[in-house]
Amino acid sequence: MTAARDGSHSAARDGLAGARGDSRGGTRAVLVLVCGDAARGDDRAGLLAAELVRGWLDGLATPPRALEPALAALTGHVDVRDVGQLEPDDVLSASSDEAVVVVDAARGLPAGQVARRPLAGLGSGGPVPRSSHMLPLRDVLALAETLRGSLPKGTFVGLGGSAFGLGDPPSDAVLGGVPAFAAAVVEEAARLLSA
Amino acid sequence: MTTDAAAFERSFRVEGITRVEGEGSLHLVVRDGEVTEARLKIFEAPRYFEQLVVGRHPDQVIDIVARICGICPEAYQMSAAGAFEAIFGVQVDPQVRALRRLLYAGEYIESHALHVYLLHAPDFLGYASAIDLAKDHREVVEQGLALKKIGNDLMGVVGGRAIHPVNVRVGGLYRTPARDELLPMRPRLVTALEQARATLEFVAQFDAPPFERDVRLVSLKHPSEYPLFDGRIVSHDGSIDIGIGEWRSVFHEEHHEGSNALHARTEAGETYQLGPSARVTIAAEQLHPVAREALAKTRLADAIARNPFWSIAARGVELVHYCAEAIDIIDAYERPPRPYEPWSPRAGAAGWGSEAPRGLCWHHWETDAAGMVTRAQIVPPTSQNQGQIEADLRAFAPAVLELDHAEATRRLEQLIRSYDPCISCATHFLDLTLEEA
Repeated sequence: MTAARDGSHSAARDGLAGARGDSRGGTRAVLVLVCGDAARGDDRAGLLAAELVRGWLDGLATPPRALEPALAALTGHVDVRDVGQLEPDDVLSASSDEAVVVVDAARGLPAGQVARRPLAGLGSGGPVPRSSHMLPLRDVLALAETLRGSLPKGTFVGLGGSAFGLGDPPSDAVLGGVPAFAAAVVEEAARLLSA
Repeated sequence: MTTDAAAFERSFRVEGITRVEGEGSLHLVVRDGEVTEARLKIFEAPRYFEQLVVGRHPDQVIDIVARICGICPEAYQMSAAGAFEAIFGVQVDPQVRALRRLLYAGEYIESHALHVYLLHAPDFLGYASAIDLAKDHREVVEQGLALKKIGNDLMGVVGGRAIHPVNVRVGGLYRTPARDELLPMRPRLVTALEQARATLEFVAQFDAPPFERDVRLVSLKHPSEYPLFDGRIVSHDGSIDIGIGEWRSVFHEEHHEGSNALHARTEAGETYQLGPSARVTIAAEQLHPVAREALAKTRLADAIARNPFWSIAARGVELVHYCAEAIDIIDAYERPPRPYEPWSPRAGAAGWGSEAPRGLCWHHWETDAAGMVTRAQIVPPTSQNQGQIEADLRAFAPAVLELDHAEATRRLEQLIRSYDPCISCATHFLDLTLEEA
């Protein structure tokens, strides 16, 4: 995909082309793929976290002081995309020098709890990403791995949710967990960028 | 399983059917070689859409119902828009109507490519999943993903975004694209048309299980265009021929234990089949000439009408049709003077339907004098197909009893997948009573 399917915006993305063309070695940019449906209760968790991350990156919200170095490192090197449902193309679009952070609500965790797992480890146990429509997230990653030869360096960052009913508001536990969720996304993106 | 062993009770239970949209389970009991129970259970939490939309403005409703499904949002948008336009007496501009068909074509290309290549083809080729298929036939899966991407991108160009598009409103669209915005899609669609032809030739070589039965096929039919969001509701045997708003005169919904989805039946209690096999059979004459020729080459028209497994070929035919029609629409497109026709609210009621990739999606809407929704009925295609799926399971199961359990179960799942069931769509409002203190 060359553009977000769900109308995402990030000032950071505007600087991404430059980032891709600079002379840094290793990982030169991080693609943050945000899954979720705003109308399905706790499935909105990823979208809420992405909104917060964009606000921090764009200077529209004040981040926790501890995140400032990570945000400074990421500026111009991160693309936050709302993808709704993760599709193989989203993962296949990552270039060889891009790392990927997949962000989604998850089952199998207490509501409001953050978990991080390597993308490559999602096939065995642990929290289950909520995304189940079309191709399940695990199948998307496995298919992308088969077609690409290997998965990009990356992490799944999930927030435990409990209520995914259509028209439901996010639960209090998820709303309370969003700042920590967003912070985990920033930390992981920065870690991958520097790795 | 041996013939002697068939004298015992045998139970097939699949708690999480894979490669379908949503969450469902299969429970089949065979006793003395006879199927005594066949149930496709749907256990995703009921969806309260029909209550959620009460009191809402029609344009809000069109965006809300798009959320019922991530794979066929246009079916819900077009059915709702058609009903509201019938209530308010709105005639949509022909070019805007063509754009709606173009948007819907994107949905068909996306949905059918996903189902043919990633969900259903692995069954025919003996793979557990598209992932295993990709290990041996990478080019096949890549072709499916390429087709799907073109469908996604077409929806993005016309609908504003690929998932849950936001451009449909009562009277037309919020925004019509300039011709220059559509033209970049044309060469990609020409490529897609060739890929769709290749897809049909590819799937036509599959070996479908020999399972033929007489079933009533139902779809919309329009005198001059392939059925999408206009025409009459007809059956292939001529026994049903009603106006698009008159679904309730022949069909009804009923609750079945163990399912969150309502089942639909004819008034006589009969099951029926919707979807690509029904459309290709009923509206073969309205197929684009390119698709009609491609269908004829397969010599599968009769098999498509009688064997549900050949729905995969019907999807291939529709992929060809919608790639070809999309090219024609772009070639003939001139940006209309305004994106939508103005309308005035009034009290009224109307039913309308549109053909989702998996079959007729029928709605009935009632509004008050301010145009706000007072009542809604949403009948998804999967809840209409569910009775026929269970009937097919009953009829097909004896043919797989000689197979080992895993293979027999796989064949039964393959049959369910032939209907491309969207279980998430099919679960909706059952009966809700709110008591206020």
